[in-house]
Amino acid sequence: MMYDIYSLALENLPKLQISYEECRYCIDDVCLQNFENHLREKGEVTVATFSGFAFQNRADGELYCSGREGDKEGRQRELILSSILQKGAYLNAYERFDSEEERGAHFSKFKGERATFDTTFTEGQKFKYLNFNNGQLGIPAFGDFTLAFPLSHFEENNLVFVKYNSLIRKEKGQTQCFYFTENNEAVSVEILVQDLSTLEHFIPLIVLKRKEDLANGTDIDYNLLVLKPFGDASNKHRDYVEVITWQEVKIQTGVRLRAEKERFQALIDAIMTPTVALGAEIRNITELQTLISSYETNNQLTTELV
Amino acid sequence: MTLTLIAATFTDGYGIVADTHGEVYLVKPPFDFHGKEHLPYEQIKSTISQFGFRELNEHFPTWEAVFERLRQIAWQARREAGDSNTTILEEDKKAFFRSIPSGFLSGAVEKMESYLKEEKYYTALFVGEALLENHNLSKNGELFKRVKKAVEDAELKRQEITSRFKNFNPDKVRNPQFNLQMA
Repeated sequence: MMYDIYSLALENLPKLQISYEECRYCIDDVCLQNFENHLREKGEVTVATFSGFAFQNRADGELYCSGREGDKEGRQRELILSSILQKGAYLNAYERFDSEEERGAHFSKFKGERATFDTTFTEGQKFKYLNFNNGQLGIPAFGDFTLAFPLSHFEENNLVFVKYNSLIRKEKGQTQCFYFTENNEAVSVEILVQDLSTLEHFIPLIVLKRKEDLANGTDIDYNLLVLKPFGDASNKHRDYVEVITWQEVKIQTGVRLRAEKERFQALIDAIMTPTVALGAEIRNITELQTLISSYETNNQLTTELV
Repeated sequence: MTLTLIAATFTDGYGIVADTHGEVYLVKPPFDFHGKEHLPYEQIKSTISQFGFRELNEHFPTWEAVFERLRQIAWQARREAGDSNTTILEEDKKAFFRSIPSGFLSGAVEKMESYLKEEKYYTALFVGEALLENHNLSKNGELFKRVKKAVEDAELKRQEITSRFKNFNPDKVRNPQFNLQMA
């Protein structure tokens, strides 16, 4: 049986509303109001993409650019951002790759679970996975450039919010996924449905997720509530609210492309280092910048450093 | 104005373009006005056969549109060939700075100013001069002024250094006393 994930999110709304009303009593009114206003004003949907460069060695307080980043098998990563801009839209793995093998390589260790999740839902093959954001860079593990889409680009009935990453593990180091039945054999719809919300009700979902932080804190860093570091050694992963959409995610007016200032400047340092051997990479990024500028000229993209 | 892209190399995106006055140009990467060479047709004729240009005869309204088409060709060519040449030419570096998008320029300008503060005058000058050729920078008055000022400062410092060493006698370096004075 296949499920309609939007209908499941609608089904959860009454329970979500009750839980939200209950948790409001634990949180200071002004604190809650401020946080909700922040989410309303800054809320956006982002996807982190790779520029193709590796940045490392923060130990001495400096960030270095060390050429093109490879994956775990040593293969050079596809310049994802350039492929998105060439196509004019963010495509999912089914739309991007023709062969099962390429898709498998893309999903890597989550191959089986991702296939199970996508085949559980009627629009699953069209699902694009993004994360809720508030103006920050995205998740470093997923890329060093971030494409940010305003919520207004999405139709109410074309997306859902999930409290956590849909493939999040129950515990660190385990393979058992939180939203799956034992041994990840199927999606546990009963568990998943409790963590879904529609676009109209995403604020109660996020407040519920962060109710303890909101109840305890007086001087809260909203950035940490939206993309919370897991605190693992690499510091590349974040706990985020996932956004699943099955509509076209086009690069158009209102979309922002974000990069970290420190990384961009490290790239300049690398380019200006006399002994560096990054010819191919620099020509690649020059082509990428040219493409970005052409989108800017047509007012389809705004760039920013954070 | 109609420009005709007569032919292009599908290995690196060089183009041969004719304008409405019948003038013919060889356009070289990175496809801006700095890479546009005006050559007599007779000379280009031999270039066409020598370098394997493919005839296109495509029409474009502006030079920018021609450059965009050549960029596409060059990018595609590089993608297919898998550019693995690690050598960086000065032109590669300049092209990088000329192509920086609007929103990233503030970071580049800040970086250039920091080179100046760190007394890396040649680096600051190189970056600054390349940035001044960035079309996006010319649209941002405040950043443009900052770069112009920094380039002027770096140029002055460069001249000072050049004049300081103008009467430099390498034989004197062997004299420890002289070295101390220099320090």
